[in-house]
Amino acid sequence: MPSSLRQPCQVMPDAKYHDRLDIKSALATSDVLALFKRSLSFLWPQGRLFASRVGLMVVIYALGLIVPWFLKIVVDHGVMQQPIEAGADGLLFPIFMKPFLDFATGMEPLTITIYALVSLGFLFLFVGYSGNTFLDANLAEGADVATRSENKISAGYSTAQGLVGLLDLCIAIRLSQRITHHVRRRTFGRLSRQSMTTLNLQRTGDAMFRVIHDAPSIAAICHALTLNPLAMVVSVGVNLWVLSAVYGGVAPALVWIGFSAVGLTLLATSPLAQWARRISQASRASGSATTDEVEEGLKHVGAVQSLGSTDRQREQFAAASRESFHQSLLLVWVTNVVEWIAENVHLVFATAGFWVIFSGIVSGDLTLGDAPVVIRMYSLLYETSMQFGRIWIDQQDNAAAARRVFFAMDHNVEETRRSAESPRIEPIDQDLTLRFEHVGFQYPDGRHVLSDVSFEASTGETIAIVGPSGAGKTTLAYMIPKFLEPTEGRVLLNGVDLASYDVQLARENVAYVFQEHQLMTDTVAANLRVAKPDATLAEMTQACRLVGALDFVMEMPDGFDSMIGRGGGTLSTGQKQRLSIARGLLHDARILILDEPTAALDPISEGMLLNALETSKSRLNVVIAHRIRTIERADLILFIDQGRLVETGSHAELAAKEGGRFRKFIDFAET
Amino acid sequence: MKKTFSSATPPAEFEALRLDLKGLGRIYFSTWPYIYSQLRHFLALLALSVGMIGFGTAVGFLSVDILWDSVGNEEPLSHAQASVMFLPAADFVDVGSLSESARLEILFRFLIVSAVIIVLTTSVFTLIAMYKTWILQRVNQALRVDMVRNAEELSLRFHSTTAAGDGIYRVFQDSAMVTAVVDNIVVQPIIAVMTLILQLTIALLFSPWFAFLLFLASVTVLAMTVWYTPRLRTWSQVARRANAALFTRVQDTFQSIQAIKAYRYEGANLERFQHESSIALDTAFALRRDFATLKVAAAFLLAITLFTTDYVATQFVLNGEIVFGASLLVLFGMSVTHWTIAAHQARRGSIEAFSFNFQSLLRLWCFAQDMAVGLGRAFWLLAQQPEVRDPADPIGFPSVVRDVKFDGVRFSYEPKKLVLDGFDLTARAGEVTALVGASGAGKSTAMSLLLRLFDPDEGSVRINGISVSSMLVNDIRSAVAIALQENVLFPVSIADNLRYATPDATDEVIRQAASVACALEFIDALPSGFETELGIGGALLSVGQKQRLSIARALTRNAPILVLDEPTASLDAETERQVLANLKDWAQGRVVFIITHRMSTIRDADQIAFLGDGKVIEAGTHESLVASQGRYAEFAASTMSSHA
Repeated sequence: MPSSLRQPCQVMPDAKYHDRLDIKSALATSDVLALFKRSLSFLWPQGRLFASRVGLMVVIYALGLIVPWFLKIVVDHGVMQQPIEAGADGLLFPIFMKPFLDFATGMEPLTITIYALVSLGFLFLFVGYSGNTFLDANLAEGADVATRSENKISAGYSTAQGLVGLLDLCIAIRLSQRITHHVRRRTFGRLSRQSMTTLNLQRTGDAMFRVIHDAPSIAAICHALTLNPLAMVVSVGVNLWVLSAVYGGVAPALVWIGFSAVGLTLLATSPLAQWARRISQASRASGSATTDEVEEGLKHVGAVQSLGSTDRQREQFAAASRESFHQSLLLVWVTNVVEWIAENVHLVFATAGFWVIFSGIVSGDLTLGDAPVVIRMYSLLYETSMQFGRIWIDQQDNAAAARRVFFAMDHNVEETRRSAESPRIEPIDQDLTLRFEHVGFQYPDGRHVLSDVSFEASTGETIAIVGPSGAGKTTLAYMIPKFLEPTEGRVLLNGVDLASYDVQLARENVAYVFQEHQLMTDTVAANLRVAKPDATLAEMTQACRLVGALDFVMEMPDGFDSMIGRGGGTLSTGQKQRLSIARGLLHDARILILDEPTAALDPISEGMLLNALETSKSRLNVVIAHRIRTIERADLILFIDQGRLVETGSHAELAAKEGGRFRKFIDFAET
Repeated sequence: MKKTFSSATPPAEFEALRLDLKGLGRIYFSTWPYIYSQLRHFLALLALSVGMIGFGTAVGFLSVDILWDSVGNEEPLSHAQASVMFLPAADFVDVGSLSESARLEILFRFLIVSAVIIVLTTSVFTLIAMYKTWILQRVNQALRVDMVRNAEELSLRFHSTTAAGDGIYRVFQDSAMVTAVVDNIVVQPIIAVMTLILQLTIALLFSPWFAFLLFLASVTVLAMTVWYTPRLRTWSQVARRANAALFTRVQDTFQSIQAIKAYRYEGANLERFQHESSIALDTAFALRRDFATLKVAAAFLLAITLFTTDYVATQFVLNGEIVFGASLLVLFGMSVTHWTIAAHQARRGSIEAFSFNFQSLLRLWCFAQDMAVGLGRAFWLLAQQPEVRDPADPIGFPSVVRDVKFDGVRFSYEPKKLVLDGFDLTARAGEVTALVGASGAGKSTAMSLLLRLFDPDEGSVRINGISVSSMLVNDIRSAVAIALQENVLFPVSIADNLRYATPDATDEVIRQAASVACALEFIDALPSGFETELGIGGALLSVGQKQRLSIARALTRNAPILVLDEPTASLDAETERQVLANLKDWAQGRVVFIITHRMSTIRDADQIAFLGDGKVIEAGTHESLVASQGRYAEFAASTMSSHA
């Protein structure tokens, strides 16, 4: 039972890591088997595609058995003019060639050649060198993850050419894609539903890219564990059978070589591949730090602005990059050496085979036409057993990837944690009261950022959370839409503990405008509609006008339908922030939280916004602010310092308090 | 030649490069400098590869000849063949037909010789493969470094982290792609074409008929490919776009995860992801299906050609005809005069090799179609030239900066739209100069000129009276530290973040910088202090804390000029004033510029420059400017009206 999977171990927040999700690089065999079993569960829903491939495989290997014998006929009975006598006496052919031989009995060599070649032509139209060929449709692949996983997502190949091969390939690709799609959808959905603390703690970007790129590994496992071994067993089986049926009598050595080639290759490949894998892993481990840094550095070179762009940094970059190339060269070297060894192992069998075939020809036991037949069969046996030996080894990497995917799938998710325990609560209407009772919060790493905060507010009011930066203002505000849940005390909404609310329902009532704008690569309208899917143009215009965003939106080429670049690239920070506030206003929730909206607004727009907020009496406004103008309009001010609620009251009360923290605070801002 | 472009993103026509003759020409032209720098290695690689292929062909022919004719069919060896295997001519060459024992002897020796040759050739091929990887890595390295340099330059010039962020994000991938292009469109095709010419020549020597048949098949396959290519290209473009959209969705989702949660957008977002994923998979499938169809059709046509030559060659053997170019075929290791079983089989091998090479060329062509789609952008980035050039005879950067002076500077990004129009300002060391004015007033542009991202159209920027255009760009940029409003922190430890630009800064130095930026207190309060790892974008810290870290990072550089571009917007007034007070102490001997809107910051500056219409309208201390009742006084009054 893969208990370690079901209950992922608690990640140490201060641990140094490069890939937090893949903590264990070596997997125990039982873990691997469990991973395989789970991977295969994604294959069964695609039963029809799977069955079609199995059916086609039988066709391919059956037809594939015939091909080499026509080549033999061309050599022996065409070029060498050996006549075919009635009953094909003394000729070495498998039983299934009997009909053709009967048909060709007594024919002229050239006529036999024509019939054999036309038959081959037909076979090629359907299957090509069936079983001993390779049809794929992979695209060019670089050293980057993207093109590699792109090929892996649509991975597929056929051991046939021709029409059957094409069909087989298309089905194989579809099968891979369907499995990957399924896995990807599940993982993505899960990841985006993880709780906020998890997402903050993990290196989200890293995790998600890996998981998205890892998803195709499940499909690879499904193929590798079912169709590939089945195909190999069938192919090796029928070929050895034909080999012994035809040559067992006259040249048994050929059969022995065939059997031992399969056996020895299987035995030799496994340790060889294992060795290569260990070296490549060691090299990758030492290289991974470098690769990570290079990639990370590249992703964030945007920071050069803050850091300056000097020759020295370029040299550092060049050195890091050179190092990563050096590592990958080592890897290429190992791969090449392993391949070289494998080729020379093959050479031993090939040489022995050639000796037996041609000495058989010299002694008259075999004919020249047997040479292409046996050589083709040997190469098929060798290739097949070579791949067979690699299956298990290759799956180690896939298993590691699958583990990361399943880890992400199994990770705690907000919804499942709550909805099972409590019934849904009726949507809140009319007046709404928010009450904090001795609320405190402690991060998993032990940092106590909030303690013993109590206050009460209701709709129609505006509360301002004030305090030095790092005091815990945002943490406090995060409790309201349940981004974080208090570790001490409780938050009550209309007298009901927020902990018993469904997450979705709790958020329905809250619009949160973040300090850092969070826009997506999409049109302005689509970004605004994230908050309200059916927002009309008039509503969007109104929201934008309130925050002073309308002018620049209208100046954009397509107005609300203009695209915003990656992360809102075509807009200035202030403009992005305004759109983000407009989005919050559009959400039209009962509680509106503005996390430092004023940084992005000039005094005039700010005034407009505050006026707009005050006119709506059905809303509870929570503003985290530094500007006096914003603060003084609030009904209730919460002054927070070092996680504690130091002072509460109206502006007038607090400002009048001689020696008070708040007074000192505003004195600073005013002088 | 100035201002060759007006945005940090490539024009649309560069996005997709069509791989017609013009496109191919562009690729060769754009990659040539990188090939040229490794030209000697590339030529050596080419010579080695073609040499080995020629050698391989000769050995192949020799083997077929010996195995089929001599061992299989009793025909005596040629002198050359006998000498390779150290066999006496008397028993093996000058005889009517070979005895059974002689044939076994030949077989035995042949297998030993060929085994030795195969071990040697596989070794050489392995070395050639390594050599090629090594050369291509050198190309990739050069490309990467150039691309990063250009992308950095762009990001600085356009004063935005995001526009170039996208470009830089792709550098890693793009440079690998260009390298793959060099391999797939330049190196491999050249080797494949030379091999094809060799095989076609050999086919011609066997019989002009074979050459004609191969030519016919090739032309048919080519015509088919030309007709089919636009289809592949279109699918490729659609597939790439679909994939880009998908990955952008993933990235956006996690960057905006808070907003998505806040607005309960998870469900709709998942649906969109699923939809986009299906589209990406469907196009990827269609592209591969069409690609495979072309491959299968070409393979079938070439197989039919092979079978036709099988028939023709069988007829030649049966009729005992003379081999067309026998005297020249000897050069390739094939010593036959009449058509024999060996000639029949050698011809088969040769035509199979032709067909194999032709199909690889076809595959490369299809690869190229796909690759060319994403390539335009990479070449656009590579083609960017630095806007400013280092002077031929540079003056060293002064060891002590006394002042920075803008003298009658005029500058425009686009003709007739002056951003700076007679900009005069002197900032002295030991003072904090605040730049104030509406957005678009030219504050950031003035700082760009100081950094020499652009040179002024008229006037000059001088440090200690020396114009910056007579100094090295690198010297200037090393002397200026900047902190921006948008804070880019890396998912590494706080200490590593502070050391990012100055890796050898001591703990002492970073503590000092953190203390000036008022960050020391909260860092020390963290359980792991300076060793605390930051999440993506530093998610564990508040925005104000991140801003202080990015100020500390700029301070760590200990540069004589410091520019703070609205870095304190999220700090509370008390902290901000503390930071500013610390900075004023720290500024001894340094020039500090602050761009800000906040009155409380502005007020404490040693000098306030109030900008409007591209020039400094007023400059002086807060008190003097307020007293003069000018534009600044108006501005200050409007900002403070509510609690004045």
